[in-house]
Amino acid sequence: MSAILELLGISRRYDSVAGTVTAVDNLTLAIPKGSFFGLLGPSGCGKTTTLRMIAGFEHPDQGDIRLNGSSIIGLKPYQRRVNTVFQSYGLFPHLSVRANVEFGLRHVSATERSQRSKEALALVRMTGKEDRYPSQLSGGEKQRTALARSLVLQPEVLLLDEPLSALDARLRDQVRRELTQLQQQLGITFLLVTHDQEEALSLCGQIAILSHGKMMQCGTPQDLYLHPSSRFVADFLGKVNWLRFVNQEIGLRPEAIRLSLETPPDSSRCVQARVQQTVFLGNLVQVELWTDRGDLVLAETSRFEGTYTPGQAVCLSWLPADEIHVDAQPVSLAAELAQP
Amino acid sequence: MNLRRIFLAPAWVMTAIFLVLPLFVVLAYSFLTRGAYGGLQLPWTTESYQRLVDPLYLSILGRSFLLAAVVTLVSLLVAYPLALFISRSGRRKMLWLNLVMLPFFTSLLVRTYAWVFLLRDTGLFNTVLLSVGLIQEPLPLLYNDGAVVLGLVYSYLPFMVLPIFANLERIDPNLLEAAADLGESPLWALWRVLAPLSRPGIVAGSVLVFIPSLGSYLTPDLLGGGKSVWVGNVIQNQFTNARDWPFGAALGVCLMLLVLGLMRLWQSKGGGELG
Repeated sequence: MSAILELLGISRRYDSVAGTVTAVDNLTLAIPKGSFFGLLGPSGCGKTTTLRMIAGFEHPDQGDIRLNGSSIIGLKPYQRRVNTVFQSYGLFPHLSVRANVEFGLRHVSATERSQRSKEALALVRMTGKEDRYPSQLSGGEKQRTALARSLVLQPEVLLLDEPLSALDARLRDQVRRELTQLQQQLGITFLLVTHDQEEALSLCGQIAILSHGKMMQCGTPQDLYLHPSSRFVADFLGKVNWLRFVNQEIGLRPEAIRLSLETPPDSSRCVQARVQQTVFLGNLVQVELWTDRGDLVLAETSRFEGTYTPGQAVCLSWLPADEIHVDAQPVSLAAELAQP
Repeated sequence: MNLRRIFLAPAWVMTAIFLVLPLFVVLAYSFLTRGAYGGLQLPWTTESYQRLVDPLYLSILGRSFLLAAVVTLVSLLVAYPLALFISRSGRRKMLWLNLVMLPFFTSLLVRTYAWVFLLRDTGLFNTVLLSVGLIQEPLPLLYNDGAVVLGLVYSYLPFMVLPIFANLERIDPNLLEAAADLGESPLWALWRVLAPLSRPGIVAGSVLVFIPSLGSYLTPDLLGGGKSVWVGNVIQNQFTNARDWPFGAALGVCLMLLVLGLMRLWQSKGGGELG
């Protein structure tokens, strides 16, 4: 797959009272055509600035942005074949759903305009609500309208700014499914920006993790979760227990840990621990333990795997493949993965 | 006794004494007969109203409406970009707003006289243009409709700037980015997004400029010099030199009814944003 969008060493600095802040620091990234790509990071990591630079609302101080191989740095937002679904949707309150969707089709003939808006609204299941105004729409409907308004222009890349954050939990699952389906159906490249690792893991085929304007790691959700190259990435994508084992520090996801009363005969990876407390969460049981070396460990077990009581001595074991090692230099790995 | 009523009482008393009562006085005057040496006397009559249809007065009324409309339009054209600029000026916002308000701290009379000194034949503009050699004779800048419109636009501009500014401040800046994102250049975005959304501010500002302009008599008097007569001047004249109070009152009532009718029309266009 060839890259449709390339960020080549872009940087963006702001002057503030506290001095110069580097929001994006020499970021290089290639987004494959037709992919569902995620930019993930905590707030202030530069992901929104990156998105705004791709859309054209901000300009990098350094570096180049290429769409289909040609630079778009000099183009105004209204000249770029990139569209954004804003976090707050940005629907025009004085226009109906139909007029919102047709907003970008001023240069198109009236018949084609109504045909295209009809198709786009059908795509997001908004048929029959064309004459409503944004104030009359639910959160999910607003988002679908915003999606249709962008998709009707057939962008090369669709930028999504925290698409699920404004929705309540019940709607999220539904919108998540719809977004995935829509992306597969249309084959348009989606670039999503989010601080929610669950949103990124569940939606994106490929994720780049940012921190302080730098790329930490880029890869598939499985790669990042199972083989994080840095402690930051490992911690950001879920819970990790860091413990000392045979003179090195390893990370273990809570679900990778198995508990047993006796030392399993087949296991070379095993430490002794004492149960501190257990928390029943319904679908799983969280067990907090102190290892004999003094590390606090969180394990997640199923209630079918036996029950544990505080103070009980247990054996804690795992498979070698589930160990997380982060001695690898994160920066060099990131740079290597960033090359198309 | 209801506490709410006690607190509302002063407002009611004020409204009654300073608004409702004078209105009825004017209404009563307009139906009385002119006294031999000015003043009023019985019997009741509608004679003053019959005189209103005189083409002379109708043309003055028509001209006043037209010129007040021009003042409103020019104010809008000047105020909108200014309000837009102020709403985008970040930390300097308060400074610009204060500058817009600054002329209010001086008397209208003084400010209008200042225009006389600027515009007259030996005024600043003509003196400079003559000395530079751009013109051979002084331009007739003063004592015409143009001078009156200029003076009124200058006087009432803040009334147009402030409501539009307040309106623009409430518009989500994301909407302009959305318009740009959907392929519209800034000017088109202004026309298709900002202008329709700031209509309540435009309507409010227009009402606030149009009504005092229509009733003004000081500015037409000083800058029009008798050559640009507005309905306000006619009314003032009836109560002073002409000593025809009933006719002045009838003109006043007529003007008020026309303005009220226009207000209703504006209100319906502004989506009921005006109180």
